[in-house]
Amino acid sequence: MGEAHEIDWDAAYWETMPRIYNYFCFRVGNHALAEDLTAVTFVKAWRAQADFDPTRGAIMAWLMGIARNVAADHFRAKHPTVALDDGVRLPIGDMRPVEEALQRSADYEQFMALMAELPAREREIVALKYGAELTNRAIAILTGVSESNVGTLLHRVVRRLRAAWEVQSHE
Amino acid sequence: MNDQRDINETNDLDTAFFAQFQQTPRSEFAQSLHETIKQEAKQVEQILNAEKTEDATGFNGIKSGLNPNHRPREMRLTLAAAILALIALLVLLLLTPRNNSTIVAPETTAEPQPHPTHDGTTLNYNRRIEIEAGKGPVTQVYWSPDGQTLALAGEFGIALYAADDLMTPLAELPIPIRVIQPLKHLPLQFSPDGSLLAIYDPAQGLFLWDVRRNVRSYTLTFEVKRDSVTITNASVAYDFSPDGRFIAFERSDLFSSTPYIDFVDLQTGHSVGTFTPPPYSWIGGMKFSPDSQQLAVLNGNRSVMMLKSTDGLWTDSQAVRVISLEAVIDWEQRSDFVTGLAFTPAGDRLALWFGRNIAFFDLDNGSEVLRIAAIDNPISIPRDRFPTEMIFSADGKRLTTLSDRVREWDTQTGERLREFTELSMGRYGAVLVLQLAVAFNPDFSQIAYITPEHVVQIRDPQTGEILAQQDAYTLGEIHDLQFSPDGSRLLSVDTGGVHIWKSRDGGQFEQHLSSDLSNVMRPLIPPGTFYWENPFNAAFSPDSTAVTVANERGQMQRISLTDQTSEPLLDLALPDPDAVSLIAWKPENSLALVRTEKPNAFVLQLHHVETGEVLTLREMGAVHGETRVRTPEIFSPDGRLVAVAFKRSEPIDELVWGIHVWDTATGELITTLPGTQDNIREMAFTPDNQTIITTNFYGTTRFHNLKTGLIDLTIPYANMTQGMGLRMSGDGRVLALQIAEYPQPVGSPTGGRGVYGFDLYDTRSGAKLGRFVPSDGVDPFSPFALNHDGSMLAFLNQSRQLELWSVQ
Repeated sequence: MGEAHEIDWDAAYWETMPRIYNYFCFRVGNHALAEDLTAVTFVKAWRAQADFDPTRGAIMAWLMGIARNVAADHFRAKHPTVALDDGVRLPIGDMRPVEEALQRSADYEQFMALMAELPAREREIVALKYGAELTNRAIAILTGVSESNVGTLLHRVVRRLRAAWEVQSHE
Repeated sequence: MNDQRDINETNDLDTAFFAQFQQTPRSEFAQSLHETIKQEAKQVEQILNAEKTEDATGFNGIKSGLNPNHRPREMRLTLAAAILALIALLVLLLLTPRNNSTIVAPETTAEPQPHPTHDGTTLNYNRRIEIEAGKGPVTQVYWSPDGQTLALAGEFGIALYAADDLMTPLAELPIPIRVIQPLKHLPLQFSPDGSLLAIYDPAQGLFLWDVRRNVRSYTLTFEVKRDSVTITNASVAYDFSPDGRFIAFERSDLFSSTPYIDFVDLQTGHSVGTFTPPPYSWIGGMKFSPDSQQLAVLNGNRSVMMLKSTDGLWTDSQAVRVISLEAVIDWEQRSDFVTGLAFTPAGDRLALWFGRNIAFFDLDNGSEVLRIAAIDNPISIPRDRFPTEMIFSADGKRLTTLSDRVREWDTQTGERLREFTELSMGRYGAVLVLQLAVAFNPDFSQIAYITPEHVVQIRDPQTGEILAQQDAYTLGEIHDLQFSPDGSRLLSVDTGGVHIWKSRDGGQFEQHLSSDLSNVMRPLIPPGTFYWENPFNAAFSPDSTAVTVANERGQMQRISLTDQTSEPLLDLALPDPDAVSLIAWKPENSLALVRTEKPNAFVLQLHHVETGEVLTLREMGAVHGETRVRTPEIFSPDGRLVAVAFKRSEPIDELVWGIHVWDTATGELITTLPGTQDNIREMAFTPDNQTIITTNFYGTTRFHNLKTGLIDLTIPYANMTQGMGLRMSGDGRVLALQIAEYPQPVGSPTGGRGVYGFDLYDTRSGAKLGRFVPSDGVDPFSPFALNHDGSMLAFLNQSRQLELWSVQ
């Protein structure tokens, strides 16, 4: 267990935080809430650093385990804490034309609307894959679904999602 | 192969598609969070240093110092127990010939620890009542074959009950149970005589629980050591032989391509045989034949290997027949995994459930002789998650299948005989079945199942009559607690419904000293009789005679506590439950505050319940700034004001954030209290309607003066406190703040442990009355409540028990 303390937690934070944050963005479709849940995840994780055993897996997988519990707690908890879709944030210092930024905003909203229609389990797997950028193997370990099944599920979900995206984009 | 290639290529393309929707966290947020956890890390370092100084032996509570839940003494006990277990293990290994798996001798359970008493700081607390509640929803039901024991399981763990007494559990095991693949990773299974319960715990492996003695029996786990890394087998299929002599279980070395199947004699605990399947086999499940002489082993989706015992032993087992499934499984339907495997009672046929179908095979020649289309639900869901259970009648002529429906079939013709319509899985059909479970008792005279309301019921399957109902575990995740104004009742709102608790004889709580809920309180509104899908708000009437409940569809009901009748107050008839994000009401239920969501906008409205009049308080487009309405929303005690906390909005619409206060009569905005830019977590009006008290995400509490718009008092956070919860006694005199302080260095007053509990303040003077730290701990987000005069505190502890304390 002593090896646990040789982890460069500082570096781990900067490497993993954006991925955890994006996982929550994909799960809840809301920046403010994603920030809150990310904060809860890291505070919980840092409080339990000693529980991290590097021999059992990568730190990202460990953090994702905590993040998924935080997400589960959130969805079980009082609903009003789920804020409204707050639209896309225009990055400070974004020098692109406003039209482009607004198009991105509309695209993001459209995307999140499609995500919201997915069943919870499929949304979770998409969030793990494209939000947290986990491998199919890591997703399989986290979710208990077999690796090949993760690939199959993703294939189907994404095909459906993109088809809907194409249809809506041409409407 | 083409399909596989297509999957990979599509995923590569999709990565680019999804990348455009990935977000960069705000730099302020990233920095702020980084600072927060850096400070925590600094404290952790101090603790580590202090721990090293304190304990020169090298072993001590390094973990315990970091984690407030770990206690050094317990760690030492754990180590001692581990050493003893190791010695026992070595002795067993020496004594057990040809024992390929590790079998740990029966262990005894630790005696339950008495609750330590708390000496308090300034205040004197006496624990009065402890209520078993809020364990979380039951998702699995298992009935022992002897009909004596019922096992209820879920994320909370396992609770064993005598089938004729659903009030008091025989044993509780805190092992989270979830179904991964029902056939392979069977979470629980009773032995044929009901005396043993096999429990598959992904963290610990497979072990057997002695139901009669309430102790852990054999542990059927083995470990593989490779390159100094020890791996516990994480994947096992298993089955008891019907004669109760053996258990067969899979032993797979994660590093090799070959799993093994071990047979263990349950009387001696010795291994009595091993079967080595062909290389690259994947054991999908296994089942003994009714005469215990054969074992059917599912090898992936490819085949079923039939093993036969020799003179009742399994030494050097060989597959005597292999039934190929190549022609049965439709490989185009890749999700058609085999999810059920059963012998007919005569043992002459084998039934396999895959996808939507059940196929029967003749065991003499291995050919398919019958196929039943068991599932016809068109909803596409992952079929490997179906609890596809097959139960044959004693004569083998009828088959009952449990999936999205409970149905009975003729096993000769494949004709559907009947469907248990009274066990309808609700309007969500197959989706809900993922959360449900059904079990029959041995003679089919009773069926136990979980309703969509998370109530465990036992019914007569013929008449539908409810024979018993279990409510001790029906409370889901509790997210709100409130005392009635007169202090006689307690209300809990959870994912399963709203429950009102009252003392059994109508007296006050503190008159009862028992620790047994059933002696002290009973649910006034029995679970199941009043159910709201995801109720998220409830409140007592000022006179404590009624409760108003709201759900996310914009429906409000008033429930009379005297005759338990209910009347609708408001029905916005919103088809989308997400459309209403908050709802609150004046104490006398004449006004409801509703936030509805529209595309790119939200609307905040006051609904006059009696007149039907609607006042729009705020309508905002999401494009113009980030709306981020935050809860809570509150009415003033006199009902004349309503306040909503908005989260900071940046950078466009800076006017939005803060606490907005409206006049409920006119809908006019009275004032906006800037207060804080932080996320407000909770707020409360003082009884004089003059002050709003808020707590924010970082643990700061502020008293906002409505007249001056200034902050009269700030209770800052200290030592990384994350006090997020805020409750005020009904008389407004006592304020309870939920606190969570991170671990302190050893030698500090807290002895290296974190502090989780409540601070109590006098609201008039702002003076701190005292700090209450429950000995069993309390989660910083747990619901809690103060009664009217601040003399009773109720909260959910870390073990998800509801605790009531008197404050003197």
